[in-house]
Amino acid sequence: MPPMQWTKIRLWILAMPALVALAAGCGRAPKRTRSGPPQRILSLAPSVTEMLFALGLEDRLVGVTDNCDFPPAARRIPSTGRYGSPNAQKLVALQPDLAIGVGLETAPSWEVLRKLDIPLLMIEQGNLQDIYDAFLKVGKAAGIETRAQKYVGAMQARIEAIAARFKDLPEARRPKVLIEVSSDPLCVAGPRSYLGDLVRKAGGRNAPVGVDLLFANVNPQVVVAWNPDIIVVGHMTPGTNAGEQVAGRIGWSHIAAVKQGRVINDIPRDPLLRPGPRVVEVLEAFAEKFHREAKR
Amino acid sequence: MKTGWRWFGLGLATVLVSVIAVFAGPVSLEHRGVLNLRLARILLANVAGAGLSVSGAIFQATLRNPLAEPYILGVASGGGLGAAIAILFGLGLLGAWTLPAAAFLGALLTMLLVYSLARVRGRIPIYTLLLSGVVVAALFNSMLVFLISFAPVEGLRSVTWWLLGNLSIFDRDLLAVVAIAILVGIGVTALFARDLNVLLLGEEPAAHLGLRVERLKRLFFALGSLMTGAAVAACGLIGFVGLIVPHIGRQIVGPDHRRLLPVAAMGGAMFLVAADTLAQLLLAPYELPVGVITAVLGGPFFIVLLRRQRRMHWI
Repeated sequence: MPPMQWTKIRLWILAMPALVALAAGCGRAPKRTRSGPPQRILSLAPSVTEMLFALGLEDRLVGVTDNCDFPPAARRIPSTGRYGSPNAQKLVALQPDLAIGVGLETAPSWEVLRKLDIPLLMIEQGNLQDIYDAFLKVGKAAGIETRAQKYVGAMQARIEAIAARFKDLPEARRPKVLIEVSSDPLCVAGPRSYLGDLVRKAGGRNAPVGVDLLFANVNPQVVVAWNPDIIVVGHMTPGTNAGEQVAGRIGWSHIAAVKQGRVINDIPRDPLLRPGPRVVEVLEAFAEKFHREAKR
Repeated sequence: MKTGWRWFGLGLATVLVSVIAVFAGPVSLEHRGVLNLRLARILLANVAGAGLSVSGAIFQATLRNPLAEPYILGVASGGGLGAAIAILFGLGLLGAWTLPAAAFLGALLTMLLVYSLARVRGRIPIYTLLLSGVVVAALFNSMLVFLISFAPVEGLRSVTWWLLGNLSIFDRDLLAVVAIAILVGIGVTALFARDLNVLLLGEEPAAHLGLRVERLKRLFFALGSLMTGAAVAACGLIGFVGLIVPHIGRQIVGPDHRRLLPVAAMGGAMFLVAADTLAQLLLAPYELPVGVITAVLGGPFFIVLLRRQRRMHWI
């Protein structure tokens, strides 16, 4: 093929995205003029739904995910599909004027929102401070800043009241805690995650060493070396014997938590794994369970 | 006498790699329990590596295709689909055994499906077998992708991780079952090494030489699928071992399966133990999927070998 023709083809290839964008632009609905706070809010994650209910925004919530089951009233709100991969058409049909996500959704759903000019609020939920900030951010976007500030103030007060009980607990008396999020692959919560913060506040120490990620797939041998005093299992169905299952793992019978029977799996999984308003309940459960020995 | 020493050297090297792996872990052996975990993992790497490599050799010979590997007949896709269904639909019926059991069941059903699709008037011609294997693998792969795209984020982690291979093992019984299945598979294959050689000549010459070709093909197909299915159940999908190790073996000892099979078994074991040691060390305390290491190490190594010795002894 002569070079001239190649250049032409290349030009066409380069021009393609521009043409597509032009075509897409023609079909675009005219921009809505927004006045006042959003009235049709779309939640893209179970934790966001919980936050919106906690802030008293449930009347403005028009869409949730299949996995949004708390509070139970959330089930009555139309769903846009499974958490992580919402259905674009359902999403459009709800005509939201604000969508709130956590960054774990699939990229195509963001694309749909952008094309429809629906503002997308992305919140972070890494550590405890991020969760406070997320409440404030959602409150600001919904135009209920003061209510959100009050809510966060109350939440913080409850959390700090519990933390105050263990503030002066020396390192040596704090149990080393490991929070197991999944067993295949073995995934644990890192000290920098909100769960790591809750462990500290509940008078524990984070067992993982050298884990900078929020949640990390780690080598089971490393867990044996960390030798946690308490293992919180966050993935098993309540009622099954987590202690027995964890103790049955090769080599894990030497871990202090297993030897002393301190494998905890009666903390409900959803509050534990959803960084939302219910982290307070998780902290209460931690504070109660971590220091059972001391009480005896 | 000289060959005897060579075999001894190869065996010694295999043991040596494992011994090094015992001491080269992410944490010190002082902690009680670490040694048990590490030994279990090394044992799994040895048997899975040997099993994948030997079934690679079997498939390459029976299908007379140098590109054949343990996953070519859809066993892996079927296993993957089984595992994904178990994870995504939250079937926790068997506890720690759920995932391996679902993977093995998926592999087994796929094997039967491919087998029955390939059957033409009581025979299984190689071409229909290869074709139905590839088609079923493609079909199941797309179903797997479909399921993954529907997965909630949590489940997605498990499935994608599983697709990259992981030699972490918790369960003694699972380890024992997989090890026995693979060792028996290798043992039986070794008994039929001569028949593999004859099959390489082509089905017609083999039949003229008195081989019951159809029956043998069925046996080898079952053996390869059994070993692959067992490996898939315990450690997910680990690529490259079954493809390149038998080829490297042929470069070293030639195509005679009486020599090739033991070389492939020991080579596969060594390769996977070494790759898994790297997978554990590189990002410690995090786990790196071992399939990534086998691909990164195996691919370039294979290309170098191919270029250096252009004469391929695959047949």
